[in-house]
Amino acid sequence: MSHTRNILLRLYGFLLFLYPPAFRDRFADEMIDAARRQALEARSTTRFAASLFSDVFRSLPRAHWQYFTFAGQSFTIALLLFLVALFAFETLSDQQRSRRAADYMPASMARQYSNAVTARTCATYVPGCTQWYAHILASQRPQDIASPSWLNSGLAFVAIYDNAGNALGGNATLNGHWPQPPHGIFDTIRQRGEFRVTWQPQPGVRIALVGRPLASGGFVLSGDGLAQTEAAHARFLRTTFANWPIFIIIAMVLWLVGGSTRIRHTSAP
Amino acid sequence: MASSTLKDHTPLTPAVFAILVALADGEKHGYAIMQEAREHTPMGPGTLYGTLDRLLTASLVEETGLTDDERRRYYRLTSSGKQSLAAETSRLEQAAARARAKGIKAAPRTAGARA
Repeated sequence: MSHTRNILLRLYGFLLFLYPPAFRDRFADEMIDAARRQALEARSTTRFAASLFSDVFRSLPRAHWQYFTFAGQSFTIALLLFLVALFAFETLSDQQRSRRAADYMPASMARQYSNAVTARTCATYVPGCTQWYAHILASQRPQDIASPSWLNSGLAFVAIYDNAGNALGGNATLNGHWPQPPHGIFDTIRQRGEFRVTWQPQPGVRIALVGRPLASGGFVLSGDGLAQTEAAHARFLRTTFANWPIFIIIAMVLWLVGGSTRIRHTSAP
Repeated sequence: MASSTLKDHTPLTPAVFAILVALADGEKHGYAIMQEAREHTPMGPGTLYGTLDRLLTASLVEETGLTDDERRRYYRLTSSGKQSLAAETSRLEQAAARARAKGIKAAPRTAGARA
């Protein structure tokens, strides 16, 4: 027999470790003997190798299914479930963490402006103070919150609204107008004192929005673009997905070498 | 050993049918079964012993207890195996008869690919 065929037979011997242990214990010697006789009689080494190794990968799944038991594979199944749960928990918690972190700056800005308007002399329940504050903000060269430069700037905007929730002014615009979220937001702010929400005024523009009422009447809203936060979460997901095959390979190896799978199914052939 | 009925096993897969046919004329060792079965269907050691394992479990095949070598066990059909083979042969004949009745003619035989 040629040297190449001897090497192929040795490789085949190693591949037999991929079969369930009980199957291997019972049939490995006969399989090697059959493969050796096949090697002696084969006319072409290439076709012999192709036939032998394709047979391994064709027959492996069925052999494992034949010897599969939930009891025997409980550790592997538990490990897989744990890994899936860990993956899901990490994904969700990263998303929640990132989203909560995105609220930090607008919440701080909204609180700061809310307290400032409250504390100012003119804000002591004097009508017009809210208007005046909106005017001050509007004089700060408003930036468009739909522009890529603002979305990627990491800066938060502030806008002032009257009692009915109509925009009075702010340091940002949306397509040339003061940012005007749905009026329902202001009812919720009125009820809760503070409201945090994700606002998507148009495709591609997602904003972490925090609103508070003003003592002088009206509301202050502050928002921060979610583009950077969502890009970071997408990077996290990509990294996690890239590592996922490693977990699967580990689980598969445990599955294949699991020594407790020695119960044979009594299914029809 | 698990008891089995004919209904449990037909139709048989090509590999199972080929192995049962190979054993129909007497006991054989694995490689001899594989050689004969490969005339009808692609079969390597993994497929052969995987299928034999299922046939042993289903009591359609049994070991004879004879070995001429530790690595060469002999297998034979059980009475259930013979019945299953007969039932499958009958089923295939009926299917072939139905096809012939519709004017289908058997294609010329080609030699099976062998390594």
